Amino acid sequence: MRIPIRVSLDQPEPMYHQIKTQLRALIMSGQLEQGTLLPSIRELANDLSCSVITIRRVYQDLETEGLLKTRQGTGTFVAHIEPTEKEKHKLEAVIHAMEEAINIARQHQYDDEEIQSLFLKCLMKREKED
Amino acid sequence: MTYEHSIILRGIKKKVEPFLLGPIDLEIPSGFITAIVGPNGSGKSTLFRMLMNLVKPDEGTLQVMGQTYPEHDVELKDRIGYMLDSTEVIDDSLRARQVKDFVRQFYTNWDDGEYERLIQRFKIDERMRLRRMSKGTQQKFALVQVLARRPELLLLDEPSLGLDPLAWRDMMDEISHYMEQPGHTVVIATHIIEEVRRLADYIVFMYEGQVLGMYEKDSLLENWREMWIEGNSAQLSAIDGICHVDPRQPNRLIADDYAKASAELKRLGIHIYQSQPIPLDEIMQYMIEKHRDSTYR
Repeated sequence: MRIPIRVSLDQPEPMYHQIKTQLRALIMSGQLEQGTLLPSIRELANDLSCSVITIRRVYQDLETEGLLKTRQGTGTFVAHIEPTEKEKHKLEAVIHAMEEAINIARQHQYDDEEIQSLFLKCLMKREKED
Repeated sequence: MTYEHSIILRGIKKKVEPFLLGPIDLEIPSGFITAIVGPNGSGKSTLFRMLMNLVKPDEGTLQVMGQTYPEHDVELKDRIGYMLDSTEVIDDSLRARQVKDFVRQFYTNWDDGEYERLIQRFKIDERMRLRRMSKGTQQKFALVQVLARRPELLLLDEPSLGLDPLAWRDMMDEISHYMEQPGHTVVIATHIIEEVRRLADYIVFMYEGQVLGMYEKDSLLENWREMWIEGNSAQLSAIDGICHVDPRQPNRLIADDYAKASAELKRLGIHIYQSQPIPLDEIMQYMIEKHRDSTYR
């Protein structure tokens, strides 16, 4: 099985982190459903051209977070996640993206009022497009 | 038998006039794919032959999967899959099927089912005589034989010579597949950067008979970055994490520890306005330059 994860060395963010964030998002958004068998550590490492050391770390961390389950001899599966957890993750992802936007705006010396009006402008533009 | 390292070399030296290998100290972990890279003549093949007891070291000790030569010669040759050119050791007027019938009797783990699967996958015509096969087909057939033996340790010396792109992908897949079995280990010597990028967990750099270093692949690729800074960097080469300053373009730096270098530059108030990863072959080149500088200065 191939999972839609993209890793790029162009980003200063470590590969381990890139993979973990994307895999977590795929699980939380329900694109990878409960019970889905993930590729083996070696397979995913091969697909993403990274080492098994990195993938093992990602799988272990997500298992600790309760998103994955490993059954000896069969492999790693997507665990059951409470809907409230999924909601929480969605909210966090959106808040995080907004905070990032605020950071960039502040770096370019926009004040809060300008940021608010920019945000509304973007929303209106999107409405028209939709 | 359990062992943490498939290969342990201590103080290995070998003189093959005019060439000197070593002294080499190296530990290759089991359960991983380790790529050995280096220019021609860096000693990769001699090292492989030593691991098979085909070349004996002048000095030092060598341990393979917890065993040593010459006491365990027969056992080790059964446990190691060393892929070599069949035409070098076998009458090349034989047909593939005859070669297989001959070879299979020497290996305790030989797996006929696996052999058949691989013959199909690589589309090898078993009626063909070795000498009539193309170089690529010979390579594929050699790989099939070595995998059908189900070795614990696979030694591959430039395995993709002569392979077309499709056969190359099949080979990459099969090496990966071989590694699904717990405790399996691959050591691959290669010039092909794409192979290292795709397969390796660890990378060993060799140059002129010396091991320049062994690195975990992902952290190596993350640590080395090319970066451009604002202003001049004439004095920056002494900074932690920076290994090279471009003499013709002093705002361009090469970091071998990006995290350290960027923290240090930040502390000095120097802005990095762009950075990007460095391809493996360039990293190797910088390592060789550094090694030369420290050896011949």
